[in-house]
Amino acid sequence: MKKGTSIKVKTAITTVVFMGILTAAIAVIGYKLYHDSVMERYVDYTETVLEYSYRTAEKYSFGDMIAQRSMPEDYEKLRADLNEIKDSSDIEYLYAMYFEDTDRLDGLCYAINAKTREELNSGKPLSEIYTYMGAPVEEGAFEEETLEILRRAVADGKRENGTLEGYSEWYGHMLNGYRVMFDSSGKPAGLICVEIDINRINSGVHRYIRMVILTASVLTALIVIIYLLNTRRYLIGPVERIAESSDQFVRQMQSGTEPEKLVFKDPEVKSKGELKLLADNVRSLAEGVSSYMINLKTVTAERERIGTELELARKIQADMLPNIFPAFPGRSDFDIYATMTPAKEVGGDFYDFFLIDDDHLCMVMGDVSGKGVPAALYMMMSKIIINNFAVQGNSPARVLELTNDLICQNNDDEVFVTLWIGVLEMSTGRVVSANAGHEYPVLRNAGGEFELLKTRHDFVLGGLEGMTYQEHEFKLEKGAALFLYTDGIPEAINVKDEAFGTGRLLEALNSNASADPRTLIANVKKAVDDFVGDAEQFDDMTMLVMKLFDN
Amino acid sequence: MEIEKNTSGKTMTMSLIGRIDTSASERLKDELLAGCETYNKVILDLGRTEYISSAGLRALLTAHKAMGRRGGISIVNVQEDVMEVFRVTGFCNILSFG
Repeated sequence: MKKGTSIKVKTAITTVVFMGILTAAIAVIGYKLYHDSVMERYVDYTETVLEYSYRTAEKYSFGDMIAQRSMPEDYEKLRADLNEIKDSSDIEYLYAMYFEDTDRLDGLCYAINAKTREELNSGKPLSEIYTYMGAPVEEGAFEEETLEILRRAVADGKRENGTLEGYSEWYGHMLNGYRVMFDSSGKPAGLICVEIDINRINSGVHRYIRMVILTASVLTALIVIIYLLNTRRYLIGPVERIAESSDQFVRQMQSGTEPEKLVFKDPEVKSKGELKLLADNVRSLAEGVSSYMINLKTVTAERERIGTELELARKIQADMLPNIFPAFPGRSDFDIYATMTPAKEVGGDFYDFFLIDDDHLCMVMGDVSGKGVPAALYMMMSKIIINNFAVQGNSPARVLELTNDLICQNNDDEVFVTLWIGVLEMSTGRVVSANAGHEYPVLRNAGGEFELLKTRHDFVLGGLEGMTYQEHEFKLEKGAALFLYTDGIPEAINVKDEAFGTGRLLEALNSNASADPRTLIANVKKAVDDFVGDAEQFDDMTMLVMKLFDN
Repeated sequence: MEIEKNTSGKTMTMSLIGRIDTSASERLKDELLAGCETYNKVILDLGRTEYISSAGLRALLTAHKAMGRRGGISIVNVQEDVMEVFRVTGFCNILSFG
């Protein structure tokens, strides 16, 4: 499953990073505060011891001793007192120094050096333990910066305690407290110093930081675990389950599972709130999709069934019109050809031709108003009725009258039918025709051109009961041709909404006027197809050509 | 197709503008039937009618039959194209042209 980094891992990482940053911040801030606070205490302590040592030294007029570079009787008493101070304090060094020349940094000498009992009892001779007045201070005992500060203090006669953090290679990190000692005349003589080792601070601070980090790590781990467990239960778990369920469902869909078999696994989100809403909605969607697909399947099947039925109906319709050509192979005096192309699967146009007797050919061309199944049903009915009345020997006008009354009877839908009917007496070439609202037929006499035969139009069939119809007679010479059609031909429209029209129809016929019926119809069809181009066929198109031969 | 109506007394004149195709004829039939119920005389002005389909003819026929006893529908200002359709379908023998 290509999910990328899972939501669980991302959450864990984010939490750890965040806690890490938090811990670092705490550690740094804590360190600073602790360090500063501890330092302050140390400084206070140093100054206290320094103050005390200073008072003690003053008691013995130590300033004079330094100024005179002498170690009188009181020097040892002073030292003993200072030793006691060092003994009872937690300091590293307690000593005094002076500059030979207060304008120079070199020439720094010790004045006195206090020692603890322990240091005194180390077994070495006292002369090696103590440093006496005048002993030079070792090179590198102090950094130059430190020396400078001390020198200035003496030179300027600084009266207050001073503290310095210093670092030297020998002694490491030291906190240095110093106080200028004055002689009896008030001149600065030297410095008394107290030093404590603040490397201890560092180790104290390090211990603190280790504690903080350890505690923070444990807490972080605990929090991460608890948070993960919690979100897993209330957030990640449900989200993962919803993702899983919907993923499974979609895969089923994509792999073409039957809609009835599609299953959406319940993500089981118990908590209320957005996740429950999401889970419920996703489930609803899945169920909606399933039922839609099932419905679609049913509808499609139904549509296919109807399509099949319509196709069958189309076949029946097509077979009902005489469609075997040549239609009268035994006859050499005439030829006839016809086609019907419905706009939808079934249509309302029809044609018919049949021999009433050996000498009389009846031709019919009709158009039921409308298209599709309703028109098709009326079409079947009309064709049969007309055929029926015609073979009984009724005249064309009579056929129309009888047919009209019959169609009007059950005609709630107000369907009407346009119709042209003609009976040809082949021995004479006489045609008796009647027209119920149908297109003008097209006639060509031998050697001539196709022209519209503008005869009288009576009203359409199925409109009003009791209509009467007139007949029209005309003569066909040998070699003449008669072209019948429905309005689907002249009213065919192209994409520019232009109609084909009777003008173009005559053109197409006359392009090869003496051709046989099949070719004439093919020419007209091609002309219409070319004209219409990509536009959809709007109406049924039907054509019939009857040609008398020259024998 | 647009329909403009003008009434004066018991007579209504309906002007049909545009093409009376299959979709418009349903509306035409309803309007005509409503008009026939309310008024004694209905005049159809086809001065601006470009085309009428067989569905349109059907609508006219229905209205004509409904109006039958009272004198039917009168058609005026028919354009040549539409007149040809009336001629070919034989409607010109049925409808009254004023």
